[in-house]
Amino acid sequence: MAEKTTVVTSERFDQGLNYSDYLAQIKVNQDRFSMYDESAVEAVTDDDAGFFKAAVEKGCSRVVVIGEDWCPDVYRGMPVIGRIAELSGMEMKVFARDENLDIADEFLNRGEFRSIPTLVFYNADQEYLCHWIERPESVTAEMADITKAVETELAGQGEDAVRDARRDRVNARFPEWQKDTVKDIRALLSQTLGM
Amino acid sequence: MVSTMPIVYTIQGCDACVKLLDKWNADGVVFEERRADLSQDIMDEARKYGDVVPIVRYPDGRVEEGFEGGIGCFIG
Repeated sequence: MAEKTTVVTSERFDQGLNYSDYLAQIKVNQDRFSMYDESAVEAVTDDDAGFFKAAVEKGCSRVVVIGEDWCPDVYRGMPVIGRIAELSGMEMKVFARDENLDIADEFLNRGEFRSIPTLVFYNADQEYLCHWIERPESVTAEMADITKAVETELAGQGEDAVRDARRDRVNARFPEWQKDTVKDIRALLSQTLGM
Repeated sequence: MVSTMPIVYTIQGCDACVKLLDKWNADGVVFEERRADLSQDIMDEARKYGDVVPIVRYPDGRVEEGFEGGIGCFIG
């Protein structure tokens, strides 16, 4: 059931970039988008694909993705929704946050932060359905746990060693966190669409 | 070549970056800004020094991340 209006009219939606066109124009992290596009193939299972196809049939046929190419949450998360859209037939349009602040400001994280990526789901009449922000809560908690563990284990070894170790452990978890992202989005749509 | 002024790595849309540069401009600090969102080379360079912009490299070798406890932007 649509609950609110949005600055993303059908005309505005059409101005967004297809995922492939977005990737073609980004300035940084091409290699990371490519890497996590590959892991997203495994993250979205056949069962997931069936669910998201059903979601499209129930009316969730469009998704807006707000992001920026420098952000790790974006180059990990955008490939997930890109794969979901590819498999389900959901129409996806990407908007650069800093060139579309009116859209970003409609979906602030905790009413304050322009967190990315933000995914906004609509029906074919461009009526708002629901939105998802940044990353699953479980991932945020695990990131904090990793940081705490590394700082404890490498106490006194210098900031560079701590940073490198933290990066290695966090990045190693990205493929699993993509799976968590699929579950999170699936739960949101399941609740919204009554599936 | 050793820089004689602070080098600050920033990205567009980073509130903490804007606040830092505003303060430095108000204080008359001479600095070199390098935009990590505009170039892969600068992004890779910034990541050698930190995970969260703004990242400041001072001429004496000190490195600082973030600005006055504000939320910077994670690039790591």
